[in-house]
Amino acid sequence: MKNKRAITTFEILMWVPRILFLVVVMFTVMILIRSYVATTIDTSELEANIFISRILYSPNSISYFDSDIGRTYQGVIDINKFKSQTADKFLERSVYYGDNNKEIGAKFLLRDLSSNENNEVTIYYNEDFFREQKKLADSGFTRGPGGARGYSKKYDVIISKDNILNRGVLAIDVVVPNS
Amino acid sequence: MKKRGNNVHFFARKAQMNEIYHILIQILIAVMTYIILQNYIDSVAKDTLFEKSYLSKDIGLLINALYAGSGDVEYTYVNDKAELNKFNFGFNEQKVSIVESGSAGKIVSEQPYGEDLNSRYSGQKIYSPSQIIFSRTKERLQISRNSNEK
Repeated sequence: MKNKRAITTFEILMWVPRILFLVVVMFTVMILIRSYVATTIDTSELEANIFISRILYSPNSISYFDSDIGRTYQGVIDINKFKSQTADKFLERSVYYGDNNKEIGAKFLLRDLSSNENNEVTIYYNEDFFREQKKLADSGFTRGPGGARGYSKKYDVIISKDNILNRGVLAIDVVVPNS
Repeated sequence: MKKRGNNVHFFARKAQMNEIYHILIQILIAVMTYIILQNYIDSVAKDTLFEKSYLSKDIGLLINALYAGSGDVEYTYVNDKAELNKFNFGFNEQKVSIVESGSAGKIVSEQPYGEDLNSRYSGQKIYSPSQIIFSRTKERLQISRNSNEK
């Protein structure tokens, strides 16, 4: 070790673990900084709530609309619109995300409480997409890309049919994919 | 014979030259490490991806909420958390798209919104506004920048 050449070689070799350690510390600092920076914003619940509001408030979907005064009655469901063959199309026209909608899907189930019979009507918004994403949401794959979240709401409504008003319940299931 | 003068530390055979060189190399490595980390922190601080993502979601949800309203609605959008005049705003094919002003090749942040086909948007791209005015009627949705701006 008294050989100067040996000492120099040893010191050069000692620089290798020092530089490796320095690189590890630098990457650790960068990862720590990055971990405190928010990069994702989750607004799926808000999107679902706004979607439900749009359907209920829109004069062109399922709510009763008085054309004489131009007013939509939220909470009053027009059964003729709901049972219409083109109800799905009306819904998709009033909230249009494009021909290939991969943003949101929903199911609307209306139950007439005034009748003793099992009087239920179901319509869908973006049915194929809803069925596909509902499986993901129900299976628990709600986190990360490729997952989906489901939101359910129930409303006590009045069903309007030929100027006859009945009590009913409207159950809405909405699924929103994560990204 | 011993060498005399100020150069003894650098030219003497038994001088601690290695120690001085080691210290100089360590100082150099420390400075380089500082410069690298400082540049990284500057890039994180200047990054606008989060701002664009936030603005696109905010405006996309706003348009959905405007469509939900009954009657005619006019709303002036201002945001004190993000500088609107740093960005250009596009509203095409049911998507809000935001990109930095005056740049090419930057990442575009997009957020879809549900357009009401009975009340379609009939505007154009908006460049570096300080405010955005949304005006919704039964027939259409209009989006424009503040007319008082030059």
